[in-house]
Amino acid sequence: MNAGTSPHMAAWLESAWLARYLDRRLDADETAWFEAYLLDKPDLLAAVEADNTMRDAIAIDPATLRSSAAPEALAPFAGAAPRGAHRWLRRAGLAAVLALGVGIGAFVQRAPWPARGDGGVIANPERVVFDTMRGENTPPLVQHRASRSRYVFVEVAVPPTATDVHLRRGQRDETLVVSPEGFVSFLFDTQDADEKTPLVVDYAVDGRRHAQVVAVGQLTGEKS
Amino acid sequence: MTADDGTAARQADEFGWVARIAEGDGHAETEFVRRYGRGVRALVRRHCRPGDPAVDDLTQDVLAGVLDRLRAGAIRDPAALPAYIQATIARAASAEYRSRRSEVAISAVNELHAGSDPVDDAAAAQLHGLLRALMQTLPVARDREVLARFYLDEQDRDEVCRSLGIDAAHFRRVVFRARERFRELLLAAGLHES
Repeated sequence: MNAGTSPHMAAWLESAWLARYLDRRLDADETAWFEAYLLDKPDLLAAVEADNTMRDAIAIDPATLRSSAAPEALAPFAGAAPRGAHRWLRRAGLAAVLALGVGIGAFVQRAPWPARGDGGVIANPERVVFDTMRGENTPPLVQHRASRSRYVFVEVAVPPTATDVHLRRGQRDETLVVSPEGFVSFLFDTQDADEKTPLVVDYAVDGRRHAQVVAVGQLTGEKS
Repeated sequence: MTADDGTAARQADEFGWVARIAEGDGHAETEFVRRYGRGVRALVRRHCRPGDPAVDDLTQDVLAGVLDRLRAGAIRDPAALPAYIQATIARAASAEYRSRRSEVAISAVNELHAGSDPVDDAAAAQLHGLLRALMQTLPVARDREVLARFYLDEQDRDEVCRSLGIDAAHFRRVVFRARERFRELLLAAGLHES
């Protein structure tokens, strides 16, 4: 009798799926797929159960959560994160760079997983990590795909204090979110590989804008 | 052996107990419950409102329903079993709430808990203690409000960010740290499920 569980996807990708699931950022199809995937995986279930229990605890006693939330303390604030958070981000970002990009990374605002129809959910695409901030002159770290996905999951290190991060390509412009590990991430469709139009990650640091070019060729098989 | 042969062999090994359930093997039924029981309960909880006392009944219903289908040999592709179980959970939870004549507010569900059973009372008291411990790690009122809006009010991330004037990265940090801290507290209190 097989006491094991069904196969796991890569750990970093699994963590990313889990984070989006717990944040309720998956659409209905993705949620159904991921719930079926995690059904027999104790480590994922432990995270879901803890989240369930925290939700229960909050529901049992909402007053505890809201008792000190005075209105003036909830006023919207400008910018991204408080100074303390920036210091934390800096440390986390440095650690992530030193660890050669093992960070999971946050996803872009739009749904990063293309709709089914291209062989189903992207179980394990190729992953390309630009773990320094020197752009296209520095070879990226590549984790080769374990699926036939045409998509490449790209992570780019940015300064921990970077704000207002955008991914621009031609006329396209998307806002990216810096992960706690100091990376921005996005999915790149290799069938949309116009090498003449570069991908540019630009961001603001201390009020000045900076740009980091990601060569499309490095994402389409010319990585070394 | 071709790749297809390898996949078939792996599935036969992984899901061999599915066929044995159809043949009346009680041990295989035990394997089914051992493998999926925890996951079914976790997902039923997720599909239900917080603290809903119907969770255990629904979990039993789902496991029994799927087991009946397996006994009847109605699930021909074992690899599709997890998706079938997930769909059964979603349907069961949806049917449960549809069947209730009127909306049961979260507060009403909580009233069902309060004072209904000494064990439930103790569990609620423990959760209350853990929540208070978690709050000590969230000194900023706005961060507490992030959790309240996301978990209690069921606002989505963008809605929370917009209403509190924070960005998505800040939201992620607050929620991620709260989850990690709460999980540590559960472990320390011996309340984690296994």
